[in-house]
Amino acid sequence: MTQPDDDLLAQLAASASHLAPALGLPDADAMLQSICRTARLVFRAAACSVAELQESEGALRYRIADGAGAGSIVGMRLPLDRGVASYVATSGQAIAVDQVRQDPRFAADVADATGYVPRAMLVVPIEARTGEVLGVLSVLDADRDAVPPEEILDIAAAFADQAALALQLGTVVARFGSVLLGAFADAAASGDVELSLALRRRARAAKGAEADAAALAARFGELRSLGPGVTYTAGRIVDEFLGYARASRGRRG
Amino acid sequence: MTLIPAWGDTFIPQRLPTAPGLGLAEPLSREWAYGDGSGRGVRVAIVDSGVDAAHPAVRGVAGGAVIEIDESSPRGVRVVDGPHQDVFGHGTACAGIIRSLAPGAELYSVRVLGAKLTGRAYVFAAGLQWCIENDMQVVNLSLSTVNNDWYAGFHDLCDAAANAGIVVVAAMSNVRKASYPSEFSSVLSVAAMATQDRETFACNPRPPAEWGAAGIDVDVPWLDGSTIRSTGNSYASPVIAGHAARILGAHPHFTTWQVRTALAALAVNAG
Repeated sequence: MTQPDDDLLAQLAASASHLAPALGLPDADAMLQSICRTARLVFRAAACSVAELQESEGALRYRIADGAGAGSIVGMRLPLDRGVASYVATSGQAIAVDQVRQDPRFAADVADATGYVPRAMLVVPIEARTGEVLGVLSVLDADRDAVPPEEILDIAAAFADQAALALQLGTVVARFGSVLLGAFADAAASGDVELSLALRRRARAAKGAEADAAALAARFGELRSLGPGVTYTAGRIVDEFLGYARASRGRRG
Repeated sequence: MTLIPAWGDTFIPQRLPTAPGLGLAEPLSREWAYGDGSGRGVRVAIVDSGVDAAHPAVRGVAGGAVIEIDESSPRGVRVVDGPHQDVFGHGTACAGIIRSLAPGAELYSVRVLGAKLTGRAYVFAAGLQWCIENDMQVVNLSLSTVNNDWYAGFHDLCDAAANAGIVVVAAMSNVRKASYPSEFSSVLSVAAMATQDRETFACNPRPPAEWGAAGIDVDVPWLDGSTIRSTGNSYASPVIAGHAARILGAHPHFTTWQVRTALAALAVNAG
């Protein structure tokens, strides 16, 4: 039985979370944007959006949108006790509604705030393979002749499946420390139960990356993709900047 | 936008096979099957988002319960009996459809959906359990789960319901994904058909989508006394539940399988 150093595990998890963006994994938001755009084009729709379920806060948060009202709706939160999208998120059932304004609790204020009020909505759940609902994909005012009627929901569900993969990838990157320790815990489970439990406990407690550190790591990931020469030069520039910053701080102190 | 939910393509008239007939000298009549056609006194449960009892299309409910999460309970849920609201409108839609077909039925609302109940298959299962324990005769499930962990649990519950004489009617998933319990043979599985006429329904001799009924661009009751136009297998299921309630109103001692046989004989494509 192994007694792991809890502080060391915490530091490992934090470092992993901060450095994950430097791995150069595909960007989840860019993938979601591409999925929304493709869905909007396929359905010849006015707009398409992905809202992420934030169950602890009892809300859906619009993460990505393409088309009419997209600029305004991203970041908006929709309480889970209202609206067609909330029904889909809580039931896991797809739904198509025509004349959505006839629903008195249709989130008219959300639609008004975006500057675009749809006539018809198609909303499908974004589900993990386990059936866990991760969010919803909404298509507003699709052209009824864009795809055959018996294929509309299946195509929308296929886009939702892609969105599920992107959302899960985003979660892996944002909580890389937790994911890493969870993987170690799985690996240790058959050999050293105590170590596995300790890793699992620390995985649950691990925080996600701090935004500033993650952004910096993402820049280094991008630099690395541009080649060793660029990485080396950038490293020199950063060294110079650090020297200057330390000297400035010394003068101020 | 007009669309056809998954499995609904089965019920496109040109593709629909003829259902096998009973070979009776006289066809089974609606009068015999439905009696006065009111479904009087038949206990019908709507397991959904709640029911707005005050909606003019619903005209009251006889009772019901809300299933809530209770982590201190062995089953993880608690049952709160009594009146409650519809949180989304979907349950009211189903109740209104059943009421339009079986005006004399006693409607019971079993709420398993809500803001804090996302994807909780065990809450859904507890709702079905409530229906068995409270002697419902027809249960409408316009919802299902894709959670494989609950495959066996729902299988047992649906068998228990069918063996207890409860007609469980379930909407097929709107997308081509395996979902439960709608694909079990112990339940009457329903998909949407392109008709506005709730008196018409079809029987597919090649399930899992066994029944087809109105569910495409249909006007359904919603919250605050309103009506919306919507599409989904969700709205076809209560049509079959309503017809089953009519049959049980006239023949209270029918088994689930006898109700099915009578329905098949009344289907628009009956042989």
